[in-house]
Amino acid sequence: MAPIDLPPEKLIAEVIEYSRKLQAGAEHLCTAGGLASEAIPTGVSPREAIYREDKLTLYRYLPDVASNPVSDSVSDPGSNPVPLLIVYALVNRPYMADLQEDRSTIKGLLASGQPVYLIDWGYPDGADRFLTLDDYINGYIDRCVDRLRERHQVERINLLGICQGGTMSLCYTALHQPKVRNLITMVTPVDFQTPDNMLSAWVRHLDVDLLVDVQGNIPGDFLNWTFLALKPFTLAGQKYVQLVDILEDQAQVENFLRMEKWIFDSPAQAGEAFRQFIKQFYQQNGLIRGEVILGEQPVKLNKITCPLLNIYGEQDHLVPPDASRALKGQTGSTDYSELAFPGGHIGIYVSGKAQALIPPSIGRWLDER
Amino acid sequence: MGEGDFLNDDWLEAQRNYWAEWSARAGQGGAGAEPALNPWEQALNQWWQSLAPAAPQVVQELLEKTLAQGRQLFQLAEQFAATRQRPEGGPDWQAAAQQTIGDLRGIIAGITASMSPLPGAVTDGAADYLQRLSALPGLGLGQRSQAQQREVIARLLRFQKAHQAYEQFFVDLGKQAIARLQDEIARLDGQGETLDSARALYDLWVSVCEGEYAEQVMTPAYVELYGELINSQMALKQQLRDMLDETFTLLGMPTTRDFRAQEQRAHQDRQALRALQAEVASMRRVPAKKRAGPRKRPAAAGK
Repeated sequence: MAPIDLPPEKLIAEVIEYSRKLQAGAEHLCTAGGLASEAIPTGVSPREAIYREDKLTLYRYLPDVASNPVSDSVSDPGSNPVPLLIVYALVNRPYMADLQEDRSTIKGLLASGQPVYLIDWGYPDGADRFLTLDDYINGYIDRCVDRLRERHQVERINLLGICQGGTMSLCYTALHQPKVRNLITMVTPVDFQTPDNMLSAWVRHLDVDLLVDVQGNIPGDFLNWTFLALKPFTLAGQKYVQLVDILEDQAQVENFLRMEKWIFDSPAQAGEAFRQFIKQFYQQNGLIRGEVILGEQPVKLNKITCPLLNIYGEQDHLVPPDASRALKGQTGSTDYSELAFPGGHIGIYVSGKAQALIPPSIGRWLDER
Repeated sequence: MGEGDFLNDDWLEAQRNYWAEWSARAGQGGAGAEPALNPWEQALNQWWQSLAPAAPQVVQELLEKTLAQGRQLFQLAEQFAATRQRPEGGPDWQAAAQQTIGDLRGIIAGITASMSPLPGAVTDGAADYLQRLSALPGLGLGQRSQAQQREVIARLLRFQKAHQAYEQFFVDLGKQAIARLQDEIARLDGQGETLDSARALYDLWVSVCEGEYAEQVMTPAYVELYGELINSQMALKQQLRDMLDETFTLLGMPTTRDFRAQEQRAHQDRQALRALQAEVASMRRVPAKKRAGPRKRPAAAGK
């Protein structure tokens, strides 16, 4: 124990400082108000709903509300004439891509001149228990794509899939290539059985049929705790010690609370879709093997021929880089690029360096195509 | 400082006294003497109890987690420092470290608790009694009911066994993490580095635990353990649900099976409606095209 130097006076000083910060911060928090969970904003950019179906809402994000209040104009002069549709994961909520004013992937994409649309899947309930991946991909996504093709009078749109939404976008493009002009995948698993994939290891012995048959929809809490269990000491312990350091800073605390709200805001998963995703993608690694079946159609990645940009986080603990990089060489595209981001699964949306790198890179890549 | 501050002169004095007493006792090697409860914790608890009721729910939850981690941080440091001053027979820093692993078990328990129909006490105790009960033969009119009950007990025991194996995994993880921490401290010593704050020690402990955890949860043994934990819980729930459904059927009440059938029917109806809507849309497009008339063929290009 030689290198530990903790005399009592040092401990006292540290205890006092920790307590002081905690007290000042706590009282500040309590008196600041506006911090009730429901008051924490879930997305900051102005948007309008252009299509609704069941729990789904298709949003259009408005470019610059100050100079261009809500208007019916579909495209702004100077912007890319091809709409960009963001397909988010079924797990977690999509406001991660628009978390705060200065950290918003969506704002960055708008600033790069892309007409941005996003599918919000909502919160599935008992009525959605039997929704399958076929319903999600060949149903909901396809109808949203058709809406945008019609709205913008284009044959093909640009697609940006995030995480599981990226996997779904790959499936969609493989099955509906003529409707997709360019495809971007962000932190998207393709090889679900890389040796460093914790989630994949954990579900290997899971009887997912029994789980879904008994549980019906999979509770959001189950997913919350599972994600925390990937790094439990850091995500459920250390970060609250680190919080003390920022407690006196209202803006930083609000950022922390937004993130905290997002982390614990996991919708339930429609039972059948969850069953298919775990079995076909995680347990059978079917996407990369060309063995996924949606409806009655096999999903073959080599059917994808459009330009493809694959973005991954070099320190992603949820979707390891190799799980994403596995896409290279699997498709029929002759225009495949990768963008490595020096950060993790969440940092790729919210870190300062991500704001400077990711949306402008996507914008440039799309404009060139 | 305001009137409600817990960081007042009395608190500071109590804090100094506590640490002075603790330091003296540790230096004398006063084995067996239990240290008084740290006034930091006492004052903080009192302060928080007075503040919490007025705090918004989200702030309450946040600060309770922060307080809990703060306690761990300083308890760990306290035990380490005491061990350093009193290397023989000193306080058990390993127990303090194990405590943080114990809290981790609480996090993991959240995974199964989020779908558990049973209070922890049901699965934690009474194993022998349940085992004996499940071995009783069922006879006569109550045979079916008894057989079902025996099945529930068998499944409960299976879940309990999986749960205990899971708990044991974290006890072992704690021991391995402590050994790893000792190695890490030895490595730092070799490099002439010093940990000179409670926070630095805590951060090192978190890093060590995370490293050990990441290795252990990827082992085949853990993967099997985790699968069995969830599977055994679902098997138990399935049996409980089936029994309840039978009772509901007797009472003329809707069962889970009824609800599932309704959900499936609703889904099929929804799919049929979508197919019809798509068909109508395509029929509407055809007349529009017909109205527009046939497209002129482009003239053949001349040579």
